Amino acid sequence: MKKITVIIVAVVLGLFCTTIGCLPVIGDPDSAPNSHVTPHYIEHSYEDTGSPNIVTATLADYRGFDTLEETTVMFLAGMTAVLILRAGKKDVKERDGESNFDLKSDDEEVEENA
Amino acid sequence: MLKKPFGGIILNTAFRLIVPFTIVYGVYVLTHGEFSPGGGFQAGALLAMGVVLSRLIQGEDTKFNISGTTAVMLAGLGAFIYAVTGILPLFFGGNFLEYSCLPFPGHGHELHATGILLIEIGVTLTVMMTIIDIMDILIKNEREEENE
Repeated sequence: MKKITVIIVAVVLGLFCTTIGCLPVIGDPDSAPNSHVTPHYIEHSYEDTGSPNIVTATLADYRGFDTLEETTVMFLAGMTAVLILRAGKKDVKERDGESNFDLKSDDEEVEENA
Repeated sequence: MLKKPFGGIILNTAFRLIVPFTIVYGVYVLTHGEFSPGGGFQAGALLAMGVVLSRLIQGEDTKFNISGTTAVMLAGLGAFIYAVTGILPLFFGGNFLEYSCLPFPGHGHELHATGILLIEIGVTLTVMMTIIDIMDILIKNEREEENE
């Protein structure tokens, strides 16, 4: 299993390395995104959205769905962090509870008060 | 370390200046997100910093404190506000997130501004409460370790 993973990673890495020359040069004014979408946004953002701030116009209006997912991802990441940290805490408590029941109840009381 | 407030006289005095300024500035960045640099993410970070600072300096008795459970609920509420702002226009003849079809008074650019403000309030809530949430759980973990 490990060998397959290594081979897949090596192949994908090789593909990335060989095709990197096909990417547009950074800052190239003739590249596809710079010659179609970006000029349209820059020229029409005020008429389309009424917002003088082009960053907000793009973030909230042209790419509103994207920002919705961004917010959801941020919420899920926070929840995941909280759940992982809480799960680690509970393990410690259960281990202590087996050895000493009084200690466990004390801990729970402290948690409720907090 | 984080269990007790560690504010001395200098920190307590600075706290009175810095925290209200941070919170007012956060609200300013939020409401002016449409016209000037800023927006939901930045405002959320600023507001969360206000709460985190007051929590660190004044301990858990501070008036700005928001508990972990409330923070989780409010973070969900933020994402919910955003989603509802997106779904509402669907019932009034628009596409998803088409602000000009929102059922509010005003038309055209005014409705656009209202919609953008609404989704930015949602983003702000989520970002702010997520930061407070993680800080809260870290402090709680530390307290548990001290009790052992």
